[in-house]
Amino acid sequence: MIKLFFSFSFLVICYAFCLKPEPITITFAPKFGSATLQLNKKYFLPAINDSLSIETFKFYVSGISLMKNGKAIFQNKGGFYLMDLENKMRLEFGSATKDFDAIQFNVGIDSTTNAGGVKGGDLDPTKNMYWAWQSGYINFKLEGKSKVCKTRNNVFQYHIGGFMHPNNSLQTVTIPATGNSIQINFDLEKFLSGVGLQTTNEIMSPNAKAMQVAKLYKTVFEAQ
Amino acid sequence: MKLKGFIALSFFVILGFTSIKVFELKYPSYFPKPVYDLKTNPLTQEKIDLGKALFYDPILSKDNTISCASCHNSYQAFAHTDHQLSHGINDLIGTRNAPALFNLAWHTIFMWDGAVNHLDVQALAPIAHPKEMNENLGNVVKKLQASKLYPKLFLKAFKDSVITGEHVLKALSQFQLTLISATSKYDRVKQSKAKFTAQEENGYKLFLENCNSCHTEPLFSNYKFANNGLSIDSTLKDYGRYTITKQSADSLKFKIPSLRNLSYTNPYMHDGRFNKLNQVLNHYVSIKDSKVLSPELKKPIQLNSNQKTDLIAFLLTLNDSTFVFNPDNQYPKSILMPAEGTRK
Repeated sequence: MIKLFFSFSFLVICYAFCLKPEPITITFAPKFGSATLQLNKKYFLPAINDSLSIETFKFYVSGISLMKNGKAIFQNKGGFYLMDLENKMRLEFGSATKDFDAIQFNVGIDSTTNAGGVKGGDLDPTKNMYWAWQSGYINFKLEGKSKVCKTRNNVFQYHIGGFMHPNNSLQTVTIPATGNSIQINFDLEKFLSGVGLQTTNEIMSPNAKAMQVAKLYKTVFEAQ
Repeated sequence: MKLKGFIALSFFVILGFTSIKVFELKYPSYFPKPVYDLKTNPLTQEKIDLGKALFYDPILSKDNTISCASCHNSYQAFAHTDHQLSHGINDLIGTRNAPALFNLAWHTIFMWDGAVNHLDVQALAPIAHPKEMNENLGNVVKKLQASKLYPKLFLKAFKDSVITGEHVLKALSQFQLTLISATSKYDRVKQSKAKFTAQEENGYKLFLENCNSCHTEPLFSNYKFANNGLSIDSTLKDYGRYTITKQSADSLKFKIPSLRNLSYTNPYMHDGRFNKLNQVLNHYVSIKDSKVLSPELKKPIQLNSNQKTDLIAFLLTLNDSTFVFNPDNQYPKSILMPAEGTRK
């Protein structure tokens, strides 16, 4: 009987491995202009005519779809990935189809998930991407310092979240892409030039400013 | 034959892994269906016990002094009495009166202003609040993991001794979901096990005419938000629901509390401004109409002093001493203080 059980489990494991398709990986590469972004390094930003440094850069990726001629041919529905420059900027998922010409994903967490109680893994509230005072995920977090910020210790903090109308900050981005290994750049020079560091230093709740910042994502995610 | 053996064996193996004793939430037939989706967090005795330990353990606060029970005392139907505004860590005083906790499975939204949309994530607010527990969930998880007690309890409950924020919050939800108040005199009358006195019966009629549209039976709240005509407290400047939605229509709206267990849950209102039920009724009969007043209160409530007495007599039938003194809901001495415990 025990032998039977072991041979059975062996078969199941073999089967699972054989079926497992080669994963598709997406690597996010934060840049500052043409340079690879490094945390706590000073960069000069022409838009403010001064330098700045980035201390935290995290965002959620969810709702990934592989597209062909503008149509979704594969959806990675349950996948929620926290990208964190200090930790990991790469995600992978399995897909039987490889014949796609673009990739679509959400930056942020959808409203159903936001209203559905506590979740684990990358969505665990211990990841410091969930607001305590008001329910909801922080979709995108960028923190750093620049002398142009007239805040305590010259910090800027963009905690972009909100899942309810009119401040649903989830954004969908579509990038041309092919192959198993996709690299997507995120240009923080372009992003921070758009944010307006001199005037907007702190966003920490769902509001109109957060929406303006969220709308910038589309313009700064780029295929390599 | 071999194939049949395979199938039977795999069936038992799967069954062995999935058979957990599910704890059934018991509530009366006249209660609506719970709002909380129990499928997302199936109740088990082990998880409820763990949640109870966490609820009563000050380890959730920064300096290990404040537990959930500090402001949600079982003997006060899990409310905080004696203080208009609840106090937390270092005796700091907050801005609101901690609400009673019961029948939480039927709440659609949480906190006086509805800042929290699900029971699972409610605990994050008091844990993080600088005047309540001043801690963060990540630190709580670290402290629990380093403790002697909790890895064992999490292993028992979640089959995993590695503690996560998700499991902490789900366990807390589980214990709180079991806090069901449905054994008051009103409930016995509903179940034809008791009868109202003539005075209570008359009070019940007055209740149905004047109060039931917001404090809807059998839960005695529709758990929506209303502006009940209270003037703003100039020291607190608390605009309630407006703080969250920023919609002017939500100005001074607060979540409608249940009227069950009123004798245990004073003071009343979000800022605890009334200590006696009489004061509450006097407020409702003297509301001044305004643009922002909830429509249910536009027509003035008129009660003479006999009617007020009758109404209060009915409201007192909503006290649920069986719930309030239920030892299952109290400090789990056998878990948290096993050396002194006598139960195990």
